[in-house]
Amino acid sequence: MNRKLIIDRNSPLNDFGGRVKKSRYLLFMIIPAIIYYIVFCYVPMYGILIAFKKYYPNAGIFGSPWADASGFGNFAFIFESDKFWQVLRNTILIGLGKIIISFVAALLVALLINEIRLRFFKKTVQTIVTFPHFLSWVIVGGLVANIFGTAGIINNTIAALGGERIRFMANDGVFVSLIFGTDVWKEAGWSSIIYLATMAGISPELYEAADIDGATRMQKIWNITLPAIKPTAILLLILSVGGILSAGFDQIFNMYNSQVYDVADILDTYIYRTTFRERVNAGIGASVGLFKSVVSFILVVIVDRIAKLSGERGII
Amino acid sequence: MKKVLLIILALSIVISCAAGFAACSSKDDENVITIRNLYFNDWDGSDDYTKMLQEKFGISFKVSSYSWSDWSEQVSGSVNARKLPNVFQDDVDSYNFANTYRFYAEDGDVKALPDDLSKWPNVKALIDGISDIEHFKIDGKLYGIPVAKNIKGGSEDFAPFTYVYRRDWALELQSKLSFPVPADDVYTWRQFNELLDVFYREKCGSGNVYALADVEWGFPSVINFYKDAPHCFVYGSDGKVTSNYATTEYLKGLSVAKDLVDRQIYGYPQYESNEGDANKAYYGGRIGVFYENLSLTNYTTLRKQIKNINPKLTTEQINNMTAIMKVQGEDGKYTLEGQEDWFSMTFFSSKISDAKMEKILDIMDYLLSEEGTLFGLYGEEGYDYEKVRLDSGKSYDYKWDETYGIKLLSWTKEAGTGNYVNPFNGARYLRYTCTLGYDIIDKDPLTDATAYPILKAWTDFMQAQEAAGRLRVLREPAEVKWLATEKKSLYAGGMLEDANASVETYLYSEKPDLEKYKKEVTTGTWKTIIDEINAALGK
Amino acid sequence: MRKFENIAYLPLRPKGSTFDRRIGPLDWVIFAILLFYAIIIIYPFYNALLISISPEKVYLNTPFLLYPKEITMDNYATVFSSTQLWSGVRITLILLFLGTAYQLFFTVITGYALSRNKWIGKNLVMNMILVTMFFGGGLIPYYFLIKNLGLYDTLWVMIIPGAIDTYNMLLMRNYFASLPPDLEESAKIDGANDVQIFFKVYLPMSLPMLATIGLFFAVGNWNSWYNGMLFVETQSLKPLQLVLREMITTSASSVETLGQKATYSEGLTMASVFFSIVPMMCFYPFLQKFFVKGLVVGAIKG
Repeated sequence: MNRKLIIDRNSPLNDFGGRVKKSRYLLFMIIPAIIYYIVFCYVPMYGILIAFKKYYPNAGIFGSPWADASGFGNFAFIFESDKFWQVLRNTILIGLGKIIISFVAALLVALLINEIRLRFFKKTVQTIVTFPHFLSWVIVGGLVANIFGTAGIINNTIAALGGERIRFMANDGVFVSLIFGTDVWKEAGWSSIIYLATMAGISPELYEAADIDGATRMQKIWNITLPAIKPTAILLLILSVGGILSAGFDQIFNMYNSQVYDVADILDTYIYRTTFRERVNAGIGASVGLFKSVVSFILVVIVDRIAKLSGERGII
Repeated sequence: MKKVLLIILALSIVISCAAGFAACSSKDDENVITIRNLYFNDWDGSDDYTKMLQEKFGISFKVSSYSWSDWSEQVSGSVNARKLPNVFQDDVDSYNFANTYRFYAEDGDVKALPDDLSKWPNVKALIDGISDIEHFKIDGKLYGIPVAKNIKGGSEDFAPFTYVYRRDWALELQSKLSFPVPADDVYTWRQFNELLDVFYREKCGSGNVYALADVEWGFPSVINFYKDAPHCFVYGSDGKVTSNYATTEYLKGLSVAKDLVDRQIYGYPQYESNEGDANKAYYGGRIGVFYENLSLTNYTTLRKQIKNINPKLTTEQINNMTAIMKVQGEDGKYTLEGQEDWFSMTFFSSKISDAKMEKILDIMDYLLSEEGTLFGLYGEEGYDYEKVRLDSGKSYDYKWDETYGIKLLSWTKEAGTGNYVNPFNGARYLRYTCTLGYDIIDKDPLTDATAYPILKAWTDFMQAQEAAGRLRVLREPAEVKWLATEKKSLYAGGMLEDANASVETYLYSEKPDLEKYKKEVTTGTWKTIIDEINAALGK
Repeated sequence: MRKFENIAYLPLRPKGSTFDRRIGPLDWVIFAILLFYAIIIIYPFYNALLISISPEKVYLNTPFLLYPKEITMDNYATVFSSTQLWSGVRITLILLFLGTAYQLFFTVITGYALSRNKWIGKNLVMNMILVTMFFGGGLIPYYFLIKNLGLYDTLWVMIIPGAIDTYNMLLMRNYFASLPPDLEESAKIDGANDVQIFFKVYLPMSLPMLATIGLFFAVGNWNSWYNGMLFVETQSLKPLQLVLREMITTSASSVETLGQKATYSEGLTMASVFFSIVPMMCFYPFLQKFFVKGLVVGAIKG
């Protein structure tokens, strides 16, 4: 008799009504989200079709003709261009570099700030490092030019000392380092907030216990602080991989110049330059977007699997 | 269970698609004209003059503006979403012509103008005055009004892209020059180079001051003296279209430019410069000779900036700091780029009724007529201004034509500068939908009085040179320019950017590779497009 | 006084412990690194401030100033006297308060719901949401949607579509999931339902996270301009950042603008930059009091 009841209760299909009743509060809480995502994300989703069409606004999406090559003609525009592979390579390299470097930097900043004892200094530094986040890349680009440009401070000093001006901004290696460096300068402080908030939730008792056991600072960080923020860090890492193909259009657009196109031209800046005045058919823009979506999705799934293998939760 | 939910999801998507594209098109209100234009930032349509216009024509306006940096995105967005204002302005030029004008016409987004415009003589005269207007006609119909620079159609067919220079430096260094500084700023090629050398030697010691610099998009300007066409395409000796960047003449100019770059005369780091930087460097006193678009607005702004920095300068001194140079090429001729006699186009949405379109054309015709022009420029007669007969001996502020002048009455001046304050006059702004009004700019109280005569003198000079056959005007052949073949429309602008980047790379590299440069501007996409153009033209 | 209390009640502490007031060599290193970092951040801001109060000729000659050579408040006067600017401020303030509260509410309850295990349909909803992070229909159908919902050229177009930000929602979910499960169990034993548990137990314990996400939303709303640029035509509905963007770019272009605007200068740009970032920079320190240790711990004990 008892055995039968247990089997029945565990069978998912049998007790549908009961299960709904049990989770009714949660279902109630999730309704706004369902409505939101359906209305604002799924309803417009048919726009993906535009990537395969020559879009004419008055014909609408279903009335527009298919693009050449059975719908893939729009993709040909980007894939066939002389520079596509070079640009893609740049995008991935810069994107990957930025993810890793900014991740490490944000973590380091959070750890360093967390170690400050003096409350006044800690709060001040915590506030100050977030400031650059609020500047736009237009301003930061101008700043970089004022420092590293041919007429910038560094060169002016060199010239005053009798040397010859160096073209920093035209040098491939210097430029890529500047991209990473300015990204850290601008965003590391802001990105560290989330880690600091998580660290604020770590129980001081753990630290006290570690002291009693005679742990050094490094050991405390390694064994207490880092594991506590590991879930958040992994989540953020996985999410940022999704953005790898975007690699920071604003930043690069405001800092690059023709001499460094070979290494600095990313997918978005290249598309922007080649299609800016032409006002190309919406299909081409959509095909680039779709290409980026598919690649990002695949990458995130891969990274997520890797994260799961290491024992973390993952997001999928 | 999961399957059921998935099916519901899929159904909702399909239903919403159907709902989406069968989009409800709201009824267009017959009594309101919605206008979106680039120049309407300041004006919200609530001033008295707009009210007067609205009463006169029995209609009301709802106005909004585009922002300069987001203009194309905002227009394409509203075209794609099929939510266009009744009247809107788009940045149409030869590069995006096929994807804007032609596209809108073929897709049915914009309404064709009536074939017979005789009911609106002023509008007709304006349109007929546009020199390339035939290329705009699709099946004999015109789908938009090019915003003309002058009412009476046509303007100088050369653009004011030329050199402004520090004559005060030249006068200061007169002893080092082998020729007297010309009072009319006319320099032969040899004299031009000598001046640059002297500037470089005397002024550019610290490396922060430059002898010659160009506005970002105009670099390298010296090649203008050698090349035969302004941008990408030119007719080769075999009668076929070929790449302008690889012609013998262009390469000659390129070597001249390279020489100037190597010798640091073209020392300004052009590739690093962002829009507006070189301009700033000029009025900051760091450039000797500067190639820029000397439109009235830009020239006035330049002078204003210089005055801002050093308020103690007299007008005479400012003139010396912003003198316009007239440079002859090696063959003794001047060279200027050609320009269109219009800028951007005004379109009518296809959803408006014929009656509404006629009403809008009525308003435009009025604003282009003499009465409407006076209204837009000055305001209400008898209150804001009055007409004064020239032979009456009374004083006036502006000579309007041969018989009478205009005296301003209610116009107020700004305290510090003495410039007239802009009264928001809807008619003035609405005129910008059909003309930029360059022909009445000297009669406009809002124009800076010191800058205009200088530019006018330059324009007159160049027109005289053109008449005498001593001015080369660089122009892309019209049939090539307006050719709207598929690949050309897709790639042309991008090719221009890439070619300019190749030129810059060649000029600034330590180990210049001419063959690589030539390859970049003749093969790959270039070859495809050029073949396509030649095929379309039947060559 | 505290110090002696500790010594009286707790066992002897070894060197280097958290409560030891003595500062070791590692502290000095950390101090030096952070000081350097702070300086390279502050100096450009200090410089931008100087530029905004200097006349342009000073800026043109010395782009990097150490001290103000000449002071002019003209740039700020221009910014403050622009009527469009204040209308933009009004709009942005509405977005800031209304929008942030709205976004915070929906994002947080969604994050909470998704952090609970074993409710029917959870995986389906989760996957449905994740797909939207990558795939989207693009601007064109979005335009139609906005148009059909009647949101075009209204204030609401800048608020409603922002209800849930997936990125932040996942952060909240993560956080809720990391809290000890005994909290929920003990509350369930006491007879509370899911909604009560959320409001009475989890919410008070997530103050640092809520403050953080709230800050992200607030900053996002303060800086918002993109939706406004696309969907708003009426000048009086444009948010602050859009107005500033237009103010600077319109004056800066060297093509026919026809508007008789004040001449563009770097000082004006910097003045408008400060105008828009100072409020945010002042807001953040207030949130720091939420980042206090022990908040979570106390709740478990009690």
